[in-house]
Amino acid sequence: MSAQSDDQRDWADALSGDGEAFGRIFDRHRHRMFRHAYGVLGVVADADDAVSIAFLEAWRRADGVRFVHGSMLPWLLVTATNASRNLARSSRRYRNMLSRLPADTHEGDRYVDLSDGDALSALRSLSPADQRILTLCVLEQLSEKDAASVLRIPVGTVKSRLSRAKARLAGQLTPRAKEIPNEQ
Amino acid sequence: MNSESTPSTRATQFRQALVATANLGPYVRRRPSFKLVVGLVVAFVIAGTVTGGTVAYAAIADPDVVAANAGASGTGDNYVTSQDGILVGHPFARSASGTQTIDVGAKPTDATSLIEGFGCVDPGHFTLLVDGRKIDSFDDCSPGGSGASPLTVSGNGDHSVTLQTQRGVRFAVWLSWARIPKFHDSSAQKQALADSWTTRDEDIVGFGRFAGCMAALGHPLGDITLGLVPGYSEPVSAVNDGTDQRCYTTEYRDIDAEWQTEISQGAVGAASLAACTPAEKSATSTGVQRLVLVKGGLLPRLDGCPWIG
Repeated sequence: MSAQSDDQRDWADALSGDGEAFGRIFDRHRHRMFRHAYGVLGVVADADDAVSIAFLEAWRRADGVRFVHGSMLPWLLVTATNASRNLARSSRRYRNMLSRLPADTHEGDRYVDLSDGDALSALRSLSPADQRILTLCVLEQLSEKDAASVLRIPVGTVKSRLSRAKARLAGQLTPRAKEIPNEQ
Repeated sequence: MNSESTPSTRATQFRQALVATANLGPYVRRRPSFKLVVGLVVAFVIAGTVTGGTVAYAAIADPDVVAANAGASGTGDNYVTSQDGILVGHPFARSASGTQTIDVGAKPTDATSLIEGFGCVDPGHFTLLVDGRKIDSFDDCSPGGSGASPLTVSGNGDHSVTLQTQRGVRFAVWLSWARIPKFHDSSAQKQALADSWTTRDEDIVGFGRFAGCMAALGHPLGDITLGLVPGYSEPVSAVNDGTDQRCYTTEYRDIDAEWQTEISQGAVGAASLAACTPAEKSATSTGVQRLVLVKGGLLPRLDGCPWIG
């Protein structure tokens, strides 16, 4: 038996009926996922929903959950990205569950910088495919091979999409510099 | 949901819901993957044809092996889908340890490719052979990892795939014949690249063909911006069903790559680009409509830019 990571062990336990194991995975990754979802959505309440949907989707699509070097986080981030871009559609499935959860105020939160940077704003404007690839390869610094594993696409496709996504991100960032009035 | 020291009420309630969901009992696959089930059944049936090594059927209930099986079949199946292809015949699936050879028979007349999906259980060194000829080797098989790739198969007659690894090292493999269409550059894309140089005009026109192709196949692009490099969004379904690859490869991929290469190599000065290409976001509803406007509206205003051919 190979050594398992905490995520893999907890996920196997959760699937076997150990609810607390699922809770531990939630505890481990919810902060990182919220920051990512907020970066994509820019609205706290929507980011909360996207995080919730990603975990609910993990359970619904348990057979499709993937681990990268033992971590479930990349899969969760991609799923949260997908949920973020299709929030209305995604949340419809879990409407009853989500509607019962209270909204957070997020006041005085010391752990999350909710300010928008240019890069986040630019990322938000990109396509879901670009967001997924940049999230994994740039923000999470996964190798192209690992990203290919999470996204279930060939490594060559990751390479070409990453190149395109980086260029488009740069294209989104560049115009901001031009907003400075030209006095000449 | 985002306070480190004191989980919010929402986070606490949601966590409780997750715990309660998992506590309901062992996870049961709601809709078994037909291909996976077929694969496992096939694996049992053809057990007698396995040469060498140990077929770890008794370990199929092991979560690691189940995950590897799902990973191998999932990545293999997704690869075919992403290439806009379809499976031909039944896939072969195997959970095994040690060196294994799988006979996949002769290539069906309507198949173009043999696709391999692989799921890791134990770390080890693996060598992949087709008809006894080494194709690949890797030793970075992390538990839980998986991947897929097409295998080069040549010649008539029966074929076999062999995974060589150390005794006791477990893995899952999925193999299937598939029919995968080959996409070729459209004549318009070839013409744009004929002079080995791409202009912004050609890039935008190529992007327009790409957008038109996507719309024609039911996936119109959205959120189009025409900055230095066109930006757009598309539904995930367009990627999953292969439409994105079909349209992008046929109409725009090589132009896009050439244009971005020219930009990155400084062939087009960033400063002059900034002065000449304001990020335009058009107002109409579909990519095709927007690009018609763009071609008639934006391009003429770029006439003074030095890279316009």
